[in-house]
Amino acid sequence: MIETTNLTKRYGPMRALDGLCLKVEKGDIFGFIGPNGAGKTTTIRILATLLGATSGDALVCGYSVRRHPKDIRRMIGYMPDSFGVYEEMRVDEYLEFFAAAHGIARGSRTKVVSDILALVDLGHKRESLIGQLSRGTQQRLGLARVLLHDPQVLLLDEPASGLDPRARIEIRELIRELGRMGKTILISSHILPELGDLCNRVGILERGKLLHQGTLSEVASRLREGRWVQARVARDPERAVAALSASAEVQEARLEGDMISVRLRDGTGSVAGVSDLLVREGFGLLHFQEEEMDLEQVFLRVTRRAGTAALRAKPPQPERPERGS
Amino acid sequence: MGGLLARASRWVMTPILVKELRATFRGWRFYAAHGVVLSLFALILLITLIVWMTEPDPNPSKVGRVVFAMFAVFQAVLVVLVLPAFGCTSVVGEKERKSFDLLLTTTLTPAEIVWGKFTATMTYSCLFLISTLPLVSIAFLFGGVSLVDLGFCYAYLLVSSVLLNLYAVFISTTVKTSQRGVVICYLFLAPLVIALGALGVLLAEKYLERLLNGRAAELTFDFENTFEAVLRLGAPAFLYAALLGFFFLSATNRLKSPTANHSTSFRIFYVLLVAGAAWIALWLMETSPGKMAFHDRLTLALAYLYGIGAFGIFSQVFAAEEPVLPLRLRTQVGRMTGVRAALRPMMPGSVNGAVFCVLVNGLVLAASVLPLWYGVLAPESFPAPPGVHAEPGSAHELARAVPFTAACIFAFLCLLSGAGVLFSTMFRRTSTAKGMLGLLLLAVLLVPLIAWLVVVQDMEDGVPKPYGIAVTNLPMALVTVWFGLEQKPIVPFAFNLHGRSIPYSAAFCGAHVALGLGLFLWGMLRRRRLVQRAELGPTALAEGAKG
Repeated sequence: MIETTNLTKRYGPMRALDGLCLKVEKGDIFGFIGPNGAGKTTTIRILATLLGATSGDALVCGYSVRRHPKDIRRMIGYMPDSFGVYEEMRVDEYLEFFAAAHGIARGSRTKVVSDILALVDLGHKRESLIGQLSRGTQQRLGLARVLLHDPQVLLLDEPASGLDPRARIEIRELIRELGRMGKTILISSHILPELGDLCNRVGILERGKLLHQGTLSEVASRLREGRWVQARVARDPERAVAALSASAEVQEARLEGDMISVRLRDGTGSVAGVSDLLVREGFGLLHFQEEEMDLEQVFLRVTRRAGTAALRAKPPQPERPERGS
Repeated sequence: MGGLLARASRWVMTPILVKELRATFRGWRFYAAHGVVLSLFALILLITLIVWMTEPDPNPSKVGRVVFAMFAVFQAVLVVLVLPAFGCTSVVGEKERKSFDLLLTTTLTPAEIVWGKFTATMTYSCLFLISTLPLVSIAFLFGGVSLVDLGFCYAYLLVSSVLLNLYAVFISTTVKTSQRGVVICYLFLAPLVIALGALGVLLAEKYLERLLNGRAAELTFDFENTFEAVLRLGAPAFLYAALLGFFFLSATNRLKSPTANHSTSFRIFYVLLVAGAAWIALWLMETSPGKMAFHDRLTLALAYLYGIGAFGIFSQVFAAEEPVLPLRLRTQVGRMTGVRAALRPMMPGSVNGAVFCVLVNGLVLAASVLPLWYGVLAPESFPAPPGVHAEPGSAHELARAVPFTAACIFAFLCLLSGAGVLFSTMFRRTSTAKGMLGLLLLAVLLVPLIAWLVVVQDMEDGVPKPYGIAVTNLPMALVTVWFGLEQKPIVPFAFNLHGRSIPYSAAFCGAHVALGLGLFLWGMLRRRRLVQRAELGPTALAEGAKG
């Protein structure tokens, strides 16, 4: 549904996007994560045909952003991270305006607007002035706006930014509902736990480069470089580490505080084997769990690595003189 | 048929227009502005009335005419000074409200958005103009004015507000803040107002005379002949239409997707511009009265072509496929030397655009200067070398036409480039430098307009007097004013410089090149000083090279 090929965007000497290759399948809820300045918004704006790429191309529903921007605009619903509303207009007038702007026939506009308002649960606010709505309700109205022309692809840039927890949960449920309706959704957000809960696939962007993409478990297992187990024992943890290190099933074992981290050997190592060993040797097993990474941990690990690699690659900079010296 | 109607209705009651009207009339600002303007109008008319009524032995019809004249003047002030404020914040207001991207990702075309904004501002203008109508009825109580006067006044105000509103909407597409939009809009308003004033005078010269003599109802467009009609109406109307087209296309282009085609519409516009100007020039020659000399007719036609050519170059600065001046103008132009720097301000970003624009403008300029050297107009101004007898139009004359044409174009480029280099060192913002270059080009455009006005003003029995287009651009105007004309032909033969006769051709090129070189040297000096002050240091230059 969305595919970018070597997408590059330069602002003068700075590369906001550096050969981005991204693939989002039909029906995916794709979480796009990365620190500030990683290029998330730039990517989304290029996909929304608001920004031209310096090189490379992107296909949305099979249309090229370079050659068919008009066709793409019919296919997408775009919601920027912060957007303005016409405060003097009523909710239904606002939606009717955008329905007209999307070329929806006058006769069917009222029904479309009613349906969408019901979907986002704003039917009771139909005649309210937009300026009087809360931030969360305005955000829901924004989501209603992008759905008016029934787009196949939704590009949502930080849809929950600046919202209180309750409004955030409402927006998340709404997006999940849209996913169930078969929409392809590309969503960027800083609130990682929520994305992990919502998205079936994620892409991690850092300094304009896509470091990893896939399902959360795929990305996590790739990052973990094998399976890890965490254990806590009642007696003599140092000796337990030594015993584990000597085992044929274990690649690596180390003590982190009172917790023992064990990396299983690829192919031969098993979780049951490690627990058996600790019980058999009488260390008094208190806690035993295979390590699972959530999105936050994945993100931190990836961006930390990328940062270290970038620092290594960067030549030393001459010291800048102090101001006024 | 139904489809056509639906499509037409999309352009009449556009979603943007509906939205704008709803948003505007829900707030209090429009009503407040409206109330203030109406009160001011009423106050001014009342004061005028009292002053004239207290005159000893007041003539009622004269009082009526004065009240009407005051009304017309203040309506014009309203159109010029108040109403563009709505337009110049229209599109940029969406950017500030962060709703601009939302509009762009709908299926509304850029043309529909610009049209919607323009029709909204025109609606406000019409509301202002129509709501003041009851006030002018006071004039009718006294007599001396007729409905024809009122009709003419309103037609002219409408024509003016169409141009000014479209201009204001265009400005609002080029800026990032409303504040800047207002400043730039009013900064560049003067040339347009002068042009509109000139149009008004051309059309209504006789009418105004009659109005002041109390015979206003006799208004008719009774031109002496077709030539005069073309001169007074056809030629200015074409320029007016060209300005409208330029503003609309430029505004539309700025809202297009970055990957969309930005140049085709402008290329078509330039072709139509050149073709239309050439057609009017030919028409002027064909329809001119028999007693007008051929070289006078030709010069008039060429002056028109020259004016349109200058407009073409002016529009190119703003509307080429990519900015004519590079984004990092201050560093890039500052870094360049020699011919590259001299040519840069004339070059749009893309190679195709550059070739096209230079070709079109070169052709227009060549067409306007070639016959000068050909000797048809004033052979005395291009003296043959000593000992050579050259008949006007002979092969010898023609052989010298090509280098002279090239020299003229080069001279014109020198002037623009010199100014470009200077401006690049004077302003930190590219937009300001572009604006100043635009002003310079506007000056180039305005001088032929004024010359045109002079010619038409001095007509006798529908025939221009045999002088008038002595000046065709700013440097020539300076030379003319400074040295004075030796003779008064339609094109000056020569200028008198301390008893020595300087041929027109030499003066034309010399003035352009000298001014251009002066500006260029001034720019280079400023650049040197900037580098010394490290404001434009080697690092910035290197960054400019990378960019």
